[in-house]
Amino acid sequence: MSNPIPDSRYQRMLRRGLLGIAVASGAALLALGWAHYSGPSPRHQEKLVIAHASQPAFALIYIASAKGYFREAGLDVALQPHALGRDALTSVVEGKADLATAHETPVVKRIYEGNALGIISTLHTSAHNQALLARRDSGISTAADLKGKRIGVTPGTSMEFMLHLLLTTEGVPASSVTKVSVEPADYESAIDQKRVDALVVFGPYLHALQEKFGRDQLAVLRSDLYIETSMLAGMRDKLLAKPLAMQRFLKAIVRAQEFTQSNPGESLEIVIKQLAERYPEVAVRNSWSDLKFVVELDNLMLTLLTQQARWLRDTGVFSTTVPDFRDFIVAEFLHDVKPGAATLHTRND
Amino acid sequence: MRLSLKILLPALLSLLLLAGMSGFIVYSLQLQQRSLQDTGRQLLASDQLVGELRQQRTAIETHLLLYLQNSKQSSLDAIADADRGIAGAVNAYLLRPTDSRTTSQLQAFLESHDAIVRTRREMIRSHTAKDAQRVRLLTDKWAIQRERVDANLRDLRALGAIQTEATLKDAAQAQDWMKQIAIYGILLAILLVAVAFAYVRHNVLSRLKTLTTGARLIGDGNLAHRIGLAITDEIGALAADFDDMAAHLQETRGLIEKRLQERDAAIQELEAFCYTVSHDLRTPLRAVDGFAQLAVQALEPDARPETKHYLERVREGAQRMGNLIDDLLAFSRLGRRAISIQEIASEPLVQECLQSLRNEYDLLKTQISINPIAPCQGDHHLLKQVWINLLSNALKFTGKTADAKIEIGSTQQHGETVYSVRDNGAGFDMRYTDKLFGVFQRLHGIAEFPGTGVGLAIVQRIIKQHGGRIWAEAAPGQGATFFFTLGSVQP
Repeated sequence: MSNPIPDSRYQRMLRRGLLGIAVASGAALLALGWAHYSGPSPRHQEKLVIAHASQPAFALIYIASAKGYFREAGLDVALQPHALGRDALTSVVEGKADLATAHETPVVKRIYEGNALGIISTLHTSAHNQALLARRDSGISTAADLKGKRIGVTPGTSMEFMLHLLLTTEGVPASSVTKVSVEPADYESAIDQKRVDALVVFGPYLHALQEKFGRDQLAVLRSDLYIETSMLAGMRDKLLAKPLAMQRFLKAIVRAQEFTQSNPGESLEIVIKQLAERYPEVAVRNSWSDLKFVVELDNLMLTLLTQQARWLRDTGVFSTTVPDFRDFIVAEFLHDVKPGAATLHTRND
Repeated sequence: MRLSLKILLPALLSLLLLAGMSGFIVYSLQLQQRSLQDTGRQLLASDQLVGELRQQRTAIETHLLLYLQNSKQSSLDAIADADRGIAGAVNAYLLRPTDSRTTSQLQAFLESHDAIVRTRREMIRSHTAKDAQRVRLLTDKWAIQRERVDANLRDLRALGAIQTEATLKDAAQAQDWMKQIAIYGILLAILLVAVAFAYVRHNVLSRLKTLTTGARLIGDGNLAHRIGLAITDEIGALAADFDDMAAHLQETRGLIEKRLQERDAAIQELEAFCYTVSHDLRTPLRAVDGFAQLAVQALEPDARPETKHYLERVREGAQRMGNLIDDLLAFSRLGRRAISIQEIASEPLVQECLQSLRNEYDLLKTQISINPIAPCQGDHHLLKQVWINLLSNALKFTGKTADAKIEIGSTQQHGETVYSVRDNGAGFDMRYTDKLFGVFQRLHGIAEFPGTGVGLAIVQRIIKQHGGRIWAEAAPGQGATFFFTLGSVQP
């Protein structure tokens, strides 16, 4: 009897062909999966040093760090604390950090000085985070009363610009007041020892000093023209040399922003814990609602930077032409991470 | 799981995969088209909004300057109209579906716009109060706020362009994805078909092969073989039926073999008994014949002739009985002798047989025709006995026929060789043909045609030992023809 199912050459070829296709398909599927695997390898985490001003305004940095978003993005981020954004930015200029968190004024000044900075995103904006605290016992209850008074302000910070807008819009000539340089560490003693009649302060100090001296003892004056904006800035060339790290960093910051929107309570607790050594809990808690966390690069920010640069030129701090800040904005990282958040990327308008 | 389901399942999966993939691609294309249309409409609406806002803002600025110059109420009315125009444009825009980023930008615009409206109203109030210094301060403030409103409008417009770009990028990416899904989906479907093929091959073809191999082995007589496919599908059930059948056949064959052994043992015992009896009968028979001969020789000359006749009859009877015993011994020896198969040329064998019969019969009285006879395979000694007995029979039964004829030959019928011995002798009645090949069976009287009635029985036994058949055709007085075939015995 002959074999009813002979293994013909055709069958062997067909079997081999199908086996080949099966192996190729399997390999292709594996390759596809591998190609689309976006998770960074934990063995190749890139190091970044972030110089930050220890303020609630930079909450997104603390939240991203505390929630492990940097690590998950494949970054080994070291936080380098400073009292002010001004100091954090100095660290970047001196090459001690990759990125700094800073408000607009120190950034404008550093660019005006000729530093090739690169701004990759905003971190927050606020119309109420800064204010002028005036001692009522000095006879100050409105802006007009500031004439002839000693006003404490921290030099090289955005608080100088806020004071300028307040005085200008209220018709108080800058020459009619005496500016006294006061660093944050001396805010309390400056008021307590009456070395100043009024003091420009920010966020947690604003609330801490009100708590300390009593709300009825201190008048709070604000400029409705001033919009505080903080941003992430580094040396432009250095940033452009690390595109992947910058994208990953911004991805983590965007995640932190989303977390803050959906979990404001937990976010605040993270920030309170982070800043516990520097500010009383109540001060951080009270300043929290003044802050709006935005990760954007828009024309409003560009306008604010330009307006500040014009003020520095007009007040004689710098005599050169106002820089075109678009040259110092690196929008591609944010554009890749969060399209639509970087509305500055076109120059057509 | 049933075999049909096992085959159907991968095929269905492949079909589902292909259908799902096609559906996904069609659905994605529709989504993409809708998204592009939405983005296009949004970009258009965005451009219209920004254009409207800019137009109204220019109108406000123009009428504000006019009012600061001429303080006419119509300018304030125009400003109020423009404010309503802005509010209407924004509200109309917000009525349509929009994304959170656009809403947020629009919100920023509205905040900037509210701030500038507050400043403008204060300017108007200061102008009305003729506070020129305050108007100048507010004009500076208004200029700063105006820049910010401009920035907001630029953001709004840029956002539309960015969204269009992002949508186009998404569309391109989605197309890439669809291509990849189509390619990998087809590859996956091929993989599934290959798996199904391999599965069918393993579960069906290889098992069928095992089944047929097993069935062949069982069919060839290896009843101890079991297919042993321990599966529950249709092939498994068939294999189990085969195994049951083989087990049943094995059991039946065992019983048959046992019965055959018993029968063979009985036959052997019978033959041994027959041989012993025959052999033992010969000795007293020789004594009877011998003593009868001695008695004849010892008869007195004057003895009665009847006495001699009786003694002669005793001797004839003893001799005939001796012949019967010899034939019986020869017949019984056939069953005890192993056959030796060889190629035999039939014609020389027939000639040899006729030669050996010459002493017994007068061959010249008979016309013997030997036609071509096909060679055969068989035991030379036994087949010689066949031919001798058949020829002897023919010669005997033509002994009283004038013009006696014997014709010997072979023909091919239905693929086998049929040997024949034809005579025109006494013949016989075909009604008694069943007795023809029985031992001691005779169709003619012994006085008419002598013989023991064992010759044809011996012939039939030898033919059967060779796997052949023997039969005869005859009619009384018209002769008889004996035919025989030889089976395919192996040497």
